[in-house]
Amino acid sequence: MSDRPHLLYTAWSFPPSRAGGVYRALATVNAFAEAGWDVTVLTVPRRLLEESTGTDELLEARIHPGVDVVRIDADVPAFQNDISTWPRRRARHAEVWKLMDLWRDMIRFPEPNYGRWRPELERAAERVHRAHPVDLAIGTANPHVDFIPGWFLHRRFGVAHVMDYRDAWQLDVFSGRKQITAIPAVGRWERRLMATAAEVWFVNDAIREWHVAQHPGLADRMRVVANGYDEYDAPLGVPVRDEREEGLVFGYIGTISSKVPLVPLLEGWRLARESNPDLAGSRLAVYGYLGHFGAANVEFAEALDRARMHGVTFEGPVSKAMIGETYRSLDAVVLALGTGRYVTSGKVFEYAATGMPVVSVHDPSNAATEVLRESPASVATRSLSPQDIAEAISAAARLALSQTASQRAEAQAWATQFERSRQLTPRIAALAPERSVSG
Amino acid sequence: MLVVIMSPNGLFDEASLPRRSTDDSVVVVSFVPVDDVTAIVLHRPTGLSERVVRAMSRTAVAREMLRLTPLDSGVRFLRAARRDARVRRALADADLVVAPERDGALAAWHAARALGRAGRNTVTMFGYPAARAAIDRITA
Repeated sequence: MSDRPHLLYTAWSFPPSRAGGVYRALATVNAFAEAGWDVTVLTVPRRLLEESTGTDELLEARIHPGVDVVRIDADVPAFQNDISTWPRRRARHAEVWKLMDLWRDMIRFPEPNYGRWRPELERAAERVHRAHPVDLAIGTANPHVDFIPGWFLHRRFGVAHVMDYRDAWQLDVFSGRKQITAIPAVGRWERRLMATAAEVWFVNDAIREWHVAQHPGLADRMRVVANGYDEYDAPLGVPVRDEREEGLVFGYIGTISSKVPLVPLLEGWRLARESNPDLAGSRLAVYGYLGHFGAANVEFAEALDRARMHGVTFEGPVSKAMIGETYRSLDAVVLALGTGRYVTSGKVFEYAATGMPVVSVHDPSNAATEVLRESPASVATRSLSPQDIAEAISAAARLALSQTASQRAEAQAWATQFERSRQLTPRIAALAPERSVSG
Repeated sequence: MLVVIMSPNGLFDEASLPRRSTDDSVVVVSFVPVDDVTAIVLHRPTGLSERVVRAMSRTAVAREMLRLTPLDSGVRFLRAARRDARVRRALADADLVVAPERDGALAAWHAARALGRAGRNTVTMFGYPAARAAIDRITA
């Protein structure tokens, strides 16, 4: 058995998943492994990912060779896609069936869909700990049941644990109100879990402050561990494109969830393209999945289809590991985010790293606004009205056409502050057990 | 391989299910025409029922209540599909049936049951990622 410290990391979304939170999880385990830790990851079976988010094998190849990935069965209905196994009432009354099935989660852990994973997680955590004692357990949400192995190992064996919330459990980061699922049992569990945690991580200060207000006695352990950008095979720092004069190419890269203001963006794009000669022959390339879990969003699919005549193309998903190649084909990027002062998103950092003009299409109160405030290559819409979006797109087009190679390099240099490792290194040092970490 | 897609709103494009060979074919069963693919366009119910549905679709509560009635859009799609002989023929030969949206799931579920009773081993999936994974398994 190795004398190196051992991290048990729990993440539902882990490569080859294509879900949004997967990049933070991958970066965290790789950073611990590079710092000399043995790392075991508890996550879901591959088949579940193949049938929901889809898989990204190139991303999976980025897992540090020292990381041991343990896949645990998760009998979660939202991911049961074989319709022939469904009971009739699920096919006929999907919403009612979902409601009636909730008790299977709630008796174990108050989280719809995922609560039923708790017993499997506890058994797996104990197996791992008995085989190779765990020094630190980190769970990353969501789902929040990912916090269970750390809490369980702390209770049974005194293992230190960290809760990486990323966003929030009770807070709807878009509306700023409590989630409808934030029933009293969630509050009780949150207090119970946080009470024993060594640290609780959030992606931005607005979310941390909200939690401090909820649990003032636990403020000392709550920390901001911001997202950052990860650089894989193809560099993110792309050059100014020679062909930009022949027609600008704007890009949106990311899952197009129901929160993304896609319809106003497409309308703003149409207005800008019709009124601004800089945008003649321009294109808006949309990369990503239409909605989570693979079930397509009808309104968005139709909106994208209608927008084809205005130079909008839907390109589908792109591998994160090769995303630099995609950025290389663009002249500007569109940061379209849901509304909410607690919303940062991970892609704002990646967009910044490219150095190309970023046109922000989200409510100005979003936390993402703060990230780009000092950026030398950023344009933001005043509101989500199509007219304001069109103005912002036009301004970004002027910037994209005039940006010199040295201005691009300057923007890229400014963004290096958002490199992911800069966020993680101090936490890894602080959480190292007292015995020394060998490399 | 024949893939039948049960999608009242015609959700299908080239990226949905990449074609493996020239022998592969896709049929979309829908209430609306779909570009660049063989589509069976069903007759959408009209008249009083359609007016009731439109009126009730204006509020979230009424929409949820509508789902409990025979006017639920999934039920209406199932009825229209059952009445169409072209759909029956396509399903009889299908290797894979896909419901990419909520309102196609009931028709796909009934197809799975009927095909099972007929001794067919047709795979029935919800969502395109699951369908793509099923195709990988079928063709492996």
